[in-house]
Amino acid sequence: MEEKKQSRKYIIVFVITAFLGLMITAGLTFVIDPYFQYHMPWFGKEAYANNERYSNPGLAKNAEYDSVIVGSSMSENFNCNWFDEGYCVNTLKLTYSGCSAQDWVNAVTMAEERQNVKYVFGNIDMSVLVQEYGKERYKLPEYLYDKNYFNDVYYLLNKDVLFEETMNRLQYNYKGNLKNAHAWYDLKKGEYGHKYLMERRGYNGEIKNTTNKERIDDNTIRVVAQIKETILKYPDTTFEIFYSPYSILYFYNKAVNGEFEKLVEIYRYSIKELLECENCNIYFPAYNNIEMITDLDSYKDLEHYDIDIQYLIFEEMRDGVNMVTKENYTDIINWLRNTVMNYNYKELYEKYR
Amino acid sequence: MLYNSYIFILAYLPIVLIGWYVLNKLKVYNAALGWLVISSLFFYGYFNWSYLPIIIISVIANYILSMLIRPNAKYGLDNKIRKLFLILGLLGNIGALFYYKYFDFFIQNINAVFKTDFTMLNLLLPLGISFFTFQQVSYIVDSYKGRQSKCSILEYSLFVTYFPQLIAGPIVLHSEVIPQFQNVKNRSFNSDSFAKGLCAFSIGLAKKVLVADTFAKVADYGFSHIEGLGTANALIVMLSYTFQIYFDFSGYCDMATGIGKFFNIDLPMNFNSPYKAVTITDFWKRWHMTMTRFFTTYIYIPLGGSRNGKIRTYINVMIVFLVSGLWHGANWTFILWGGVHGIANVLTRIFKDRIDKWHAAFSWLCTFVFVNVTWVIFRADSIASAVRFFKEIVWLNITPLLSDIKSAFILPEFKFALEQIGKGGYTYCLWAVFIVLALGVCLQAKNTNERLDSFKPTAVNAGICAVVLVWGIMSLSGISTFLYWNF
Repeated sequence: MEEKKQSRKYIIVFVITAFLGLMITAGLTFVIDPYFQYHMPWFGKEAYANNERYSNPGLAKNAEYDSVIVGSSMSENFNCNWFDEGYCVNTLKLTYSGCSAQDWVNAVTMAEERQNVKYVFGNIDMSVLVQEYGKERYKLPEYLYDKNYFNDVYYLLNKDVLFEETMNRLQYNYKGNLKNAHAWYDLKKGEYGHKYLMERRGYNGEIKNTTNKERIDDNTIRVVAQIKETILKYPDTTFEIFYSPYSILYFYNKAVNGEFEKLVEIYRYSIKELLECENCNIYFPAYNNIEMITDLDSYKDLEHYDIDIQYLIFEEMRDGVNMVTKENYTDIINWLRNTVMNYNYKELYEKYR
Repeated sequence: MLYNSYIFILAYLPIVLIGWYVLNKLKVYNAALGWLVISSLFFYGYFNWSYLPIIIISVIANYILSMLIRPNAKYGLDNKIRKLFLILGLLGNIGALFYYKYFDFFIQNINAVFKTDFTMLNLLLPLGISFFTFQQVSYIVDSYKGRQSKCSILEYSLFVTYFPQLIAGPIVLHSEVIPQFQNVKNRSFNSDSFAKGLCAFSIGLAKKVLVADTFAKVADYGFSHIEGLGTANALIVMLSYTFQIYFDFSGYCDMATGIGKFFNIDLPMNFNSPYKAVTITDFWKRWHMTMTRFFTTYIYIPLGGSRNGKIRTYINVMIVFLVSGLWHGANWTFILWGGVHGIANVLTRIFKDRIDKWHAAFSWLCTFVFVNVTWVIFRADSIASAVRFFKEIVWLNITPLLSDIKSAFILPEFKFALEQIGKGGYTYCLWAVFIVLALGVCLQAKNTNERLDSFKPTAVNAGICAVVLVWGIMSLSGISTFLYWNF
C-alpha cells in the first residue's frame, strides 16, 4: 500500500513538473515571440529579424507596412527606407535567400492577405525561374506558414527557438532592423573583387556564336504562369520587378556551359508574359550598362553585386530608367545576347590579371 | 507516427490510454482490446495509409492458417495437409517479406551477374514488415506444434499490431503477451507500473533525441564525405555511429517498454548493456536479444543447433548470422556484416578456452573494436564505401577535426549554458565530452531495465525524469539555418 502511495505521488510530481516545464518554455517563447507569429515585440523591445524563412510569415501577419520587397538575395541588400522616401510608402522586407517561385508567390500572398499592398518591389530572375515548382531547394517551416494552431508546438516547444532566439532576446535589447534586415553587403568586407569571380570562372576562350534556339521547359511555363497569376490577382498592387544585373562573367559562364541560349529564352518568355500584366513594371538595369556589369570589383561572386549597384537599381526603378516595354523588350534581349556573345573576354581577363 | 513526435506524446498516447482505462473500468474488456487494435492500426497507418491493407490481410490470413494447422483442431486435417499448410504459410509470409524487401535487391544482382535488364519494382517497404512477419511465423510454427497461445482473433490481432512493438520490436512471442492481454487483473490502473513507464519513456526519449540524433549528424556527415576525412575524423565518425545505433535502438525499446508499462504490459528486454560485452558471443546475448532468441528458436535449433557435432554447429551459426545480416537490409553490406559476425562467433567458440584466459579489459577492448569496425560495414552504402572508410583510418592521414563534426555536438542548450558562465569558447570541445560521456554511460551506468528493477518512486526521481522528458520534447523540433549565399 505504501509503495502504491509512493508511486501515485511519483506520477503526480512527474505530471505537474512536466506540465509546468512545458508551459514555462512555451510561455517564454509566446511572450518573446522571436518570429512574430502572434504579435510584434512587447515591453518596448524592438523588432529584430534574423532568419527570413522563419520570421517572414509572422512579419507579414503582424508588422505595420503597406508595401513589400520580395525576391532573392539579389533584393536582400535593399534598404526599405529608400523606398519609403522614394515612393512615400512604408516598406517591409519579405525576401528569401535562394528564393523560388513558390517563395515569391507565398510572400506576396501573405502580404496581400493582411491588407491591400501598394507596391511589391524585387527581383524575378534565374533563382525564381528555374527551381522546379514543388521541389524547391529549401524547405519552409510549414507550421509557421499555415493556419493550424495545433502544430505551433513545433515553434513553442522548440529548444533551438528557445535558446537561440527567445533567451537571447530576453537577455539583450536587440536594435530593430526591419528596414535593413537580412542585408549582407558589409558582412564580409574584403570579399568583393575580381579575384573571387575569376576563381569561379577562369578564361575558357571566346564564345562561339550559335543560332540554337532552346525550348522553354514545362517547369518554366508553370512557374511564370504562377507568378503572372499572382500579379493579376492583385490589380491594385503595382509590381516593380527587376532582372538582376549579374556580372558579365555569370553570362560567360552560362555560355561556356552551353546554358546561355536557354537563359535568353527563359528571359524572353518570362518578360513577354509579365508585360501582359498592366500592374507590372519591369526593369533591366544591365541594359546599356556594360561598364557596370564588367566592373568585376563590384561583385563578390558571379552574381552578387555590391550596395552601390543595389542603390542604382532602386534609383532606376524610382525614376523609371531602363524600363522594359512591349516595344523594347526584344531589343533588350537581343542586346544581352549580342553583348555576351561578342564580348572580348580575353581583354577582360588580361585587364584583371 | 513515431514515439518521438509531438502528436504521439501530446495527443495520441493520452487519448489511447484514456480510452483503454475507461473501457476497462466499464468492464467492456473486448471493446478495450478492440480500441487498442484500432489505435494500433491508426498508429501504423499514420505513416502511410496504403500500409494498412497489407497488415490487416496478413493478420487475418495467418490467424485462419493457425486455426487450420493446429493438431487436433476441430477441422480434422491430417498431418500431411497440416504440414502443407504450414509450408504454404511460411512461404506466404517469407514470400511477402521477400517481395517487398528483397525483390529489387534480387533483380539488381541478377542484372549485374547475367547482364540482363529486368526492371525493378521500387516498391514501398511496409513499415515493420520484418517484425510482424517474424512474430506471425513464430505463431504459426508454434500452432503447428500445438504450442500456440489460445486466443481470439482480437487478441491475436493485438499481439501482432500492438503499437509499442509494431514498428521496431522487440520481437515478442505470443506466450509473452497474449496471456497478459487476457488477464483482466492487468486492466485496472497500476500506479507502480505507470510510474516505471514514465521513467522508462523519459529515458528512452532522451537517449533517442538528445544522444542518438546528435551522433547521427556526425555519422551522416562522415559517411557521405568519406574522401579526405582523415584518421581522427574517421575514428570519431565510427564511434559516433556505434553510439548512434545503440542509443537510437535501445532508446526506442526503452520507450516501448515504458509505453507497455502504461498499459500494465511487460515487454521483453532487448538490450542488456551490449557494449559491456567481453566476447562476441557475450555481445549477441546482450544486443537485440529478442532477435537472437527468434533466430535461435526458429532457425538454429531446427537446423540441429549444437547437437550434431562441432562442424555442423559452426555451419548452423554461420547460417543464422548470414540470415540475420540479410534480415537487416537488402544490401551486400548487411550480409557481409552478418558473415563477419558469424566468423567471429565461430572463432570465439573454437578458441574459447584461450579467450577465457585473456584479461577482461583486453577481451573487452577486442570486442568493442571489432563491433565498431563491423558497424562501419553495416552503415556504409556499399562495400566499396566501407573499404574507403577503413583506408581513411588506416592510412594515418593526420588532419584537424572538421568543424562540421565539432559543430554537430554544439547543442543550443549547451552553448547557451556555456555562454552564461563565460565559457562560450569551450563549445568546440563538446565533441569530446559527448564521446566520453556516451562511453561512460555504456560501460558504467545501469541500463533502463536494471533501473526499473531497482526503481524507487521518489519525488526527486520524478522531478528529474520529468525534466528529462521536457528536454526531450523540446528537442523534437529545430531551426534550419540557411548558409547559402547564392541567389
